[in-house]
Amino acid sequence: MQYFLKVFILIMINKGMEFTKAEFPFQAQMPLSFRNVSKSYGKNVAVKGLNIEIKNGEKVALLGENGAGKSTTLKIISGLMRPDAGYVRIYGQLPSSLSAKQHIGYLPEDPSPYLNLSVRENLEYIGAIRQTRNLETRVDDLIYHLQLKNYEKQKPLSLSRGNKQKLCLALSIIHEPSFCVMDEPLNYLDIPTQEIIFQYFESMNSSFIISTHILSIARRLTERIIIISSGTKIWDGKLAELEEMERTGKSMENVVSELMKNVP
Amino acid sequence: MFLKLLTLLIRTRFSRSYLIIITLVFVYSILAIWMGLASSLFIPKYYLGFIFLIFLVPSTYMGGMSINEADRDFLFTSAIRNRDLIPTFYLAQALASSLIFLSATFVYLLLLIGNPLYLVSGIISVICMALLPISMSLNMAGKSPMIKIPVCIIETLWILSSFFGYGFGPISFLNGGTASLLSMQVILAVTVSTTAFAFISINAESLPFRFYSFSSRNSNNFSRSQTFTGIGRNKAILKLNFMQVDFTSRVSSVGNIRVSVNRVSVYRLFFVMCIFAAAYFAVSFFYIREDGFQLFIATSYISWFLIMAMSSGTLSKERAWLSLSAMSIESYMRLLMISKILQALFVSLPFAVVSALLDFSGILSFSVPILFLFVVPSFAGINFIITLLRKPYQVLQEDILPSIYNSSQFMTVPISLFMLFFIFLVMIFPITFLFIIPAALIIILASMYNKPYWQNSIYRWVEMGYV
Repeated sequence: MQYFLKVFILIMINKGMEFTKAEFPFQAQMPLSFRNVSKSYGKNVAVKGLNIEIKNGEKVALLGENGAGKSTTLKIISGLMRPDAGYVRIYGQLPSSLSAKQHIGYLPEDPSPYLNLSVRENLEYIGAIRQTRNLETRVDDLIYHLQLKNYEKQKPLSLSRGNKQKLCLALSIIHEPSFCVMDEPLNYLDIPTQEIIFQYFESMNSSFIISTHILSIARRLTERIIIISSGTKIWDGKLAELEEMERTGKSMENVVSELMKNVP
Repeated sequence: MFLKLLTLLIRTRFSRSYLIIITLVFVYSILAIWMGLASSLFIPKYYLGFIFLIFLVPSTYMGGMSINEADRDFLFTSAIRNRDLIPTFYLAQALASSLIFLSATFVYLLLLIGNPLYLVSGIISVICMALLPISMSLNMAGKSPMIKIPVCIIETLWILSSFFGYGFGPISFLNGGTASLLSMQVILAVTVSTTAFAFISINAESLPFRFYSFSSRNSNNFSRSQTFTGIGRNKAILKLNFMQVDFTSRVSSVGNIRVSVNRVSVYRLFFVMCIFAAAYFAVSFFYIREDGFQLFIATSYISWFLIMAMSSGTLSKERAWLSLSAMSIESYMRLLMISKILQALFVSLPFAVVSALLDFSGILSFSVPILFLFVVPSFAGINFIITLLRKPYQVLQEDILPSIYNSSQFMTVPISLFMLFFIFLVMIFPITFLFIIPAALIIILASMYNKPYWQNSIYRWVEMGYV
């Protein structure tokens, strides 16, 4: 009865209306429902009627030129920013809700850890806030896999930019999130470290949305690509489709570049 | 070249609101005098001494100039001679901090208006006091603490000497008579010689880079190792935020040169306060029982706790993406506010205890410090709420001297005005305590459980680039 009532209200009133509970059983299974979302900063439109749906286990790359609205989109998804209009749900929940936050592992574009805490203390602190189970084991595991053992007692200020980025990556996934929202996660990382991260991400049984403007990273990490320009989606498809277009004699960079230029 | 550079610095660093802030500070200084302080030359002397102290000593100890990464990467690598570059920075710095100092202190000259000679010596003294911190900071750029600490001690003693009747102290010009002229001559000589030394060192090729290397050093972060395993979410947040005092943006609130994140352990601060409180007790008990000493302590105490309470609005940038995306915004902010209130309460304890002991011993002590135990934490909470209306004080470039002067840097000024008003009210009429504290508690509790307030604040910060 409650289910039908909610469906009725949703149809009759407004699809943008907010419910705190999951509306539909199928939505509750979906990491992301992002429909007709718009966001402006004053007169500047950052995101305009954007639609993204991500299924369980799906890995999606968000491509776009500088200022296309990628970071704003990710901030809205992570619950740190409220859209002006539209409908956003994480596993059927509002992004600002605690249950949605428990699912999400968010990494911003230029992250910084707690500078007065050591690498290990940072992980323990955020692990405690995230209420991570078996925290000590989890911290050891991340330190080992991300090769931070030699730096675990050091403060972030004495770390190289790459090691700081590894720490931030570890902080964003300490609670083993089922949905990772990452803005340029491989910034500052050297090629062997990128390889380690690729492998670690592949070992995680999580859904991903990764913002990047480096095509090779999108190719390696994801199977679906969304290209946005001026806050609007201009292309959404499988990586294989882009590769198909590549066979016409153009490089993938050329293909993507042309797609970005051909904005209606 | 000099004028071009100056125009560039002014355009890129000063906002229009800066002038408004200077006006506000001027009004603030007039009100400070008006609030019962202008009746004699006594209080202004201590007040001016304190302001000069907090401009001069930190400038000397910190050294350097306001230089950011863009200056290092683009300005210092340009073909500009130091003799053009450094005076421009000096002037920009003078516009930044000296104007604030002058607007805050010039009102004291009203007290000398009856005598043109004293007035002129007062004007010269105050201008010297505004410029001396900049010259000292230029001289001390890159020097070791072994040099800086003794210089800071000498400066402090020099300022304090004004309160013990010595004519050569920098504030002695307010005394009138020959002391006024002697004081002016001494500070003029000190400022001219310090500035001359500073300008001689301008030709040193490494000077700009010494500025930068100093400004970009690691923060003075406390290094107590902590563990967060085996404790719950709330306890972890309270533990970290209670133990860590963020000394950020405080000096900027008075227009001084440096803003960096200095995180100090609350226990260390408590220990320092215990030493000061014990020293105060010993001096009051055995040596000095004069009103002057008590008033100096009272002024310093109020000023210190004003800063302590207002620091509650300081949040470092790095917390936002980690904590706010990990739990509900309102719960995090609530815990943060509680930890800031507890911090202010904890650090207030030593002086309150000592003052109570002095009161019980029948020795004169400054008024109602125990009441401050409630007033300061309450205002720490209220300041936390108020500052979040706009944006918490934030250091965009960690450990870099800020080179942008805008209104948000000086948000503490109007807030401190209100706090001063209430603190004086409690001091003069202790009965008002019974109304002010419950009112403060109601505001704090109401805000604490106002979910949309915290959420809207955070969303606004994120839009302003906080994350």
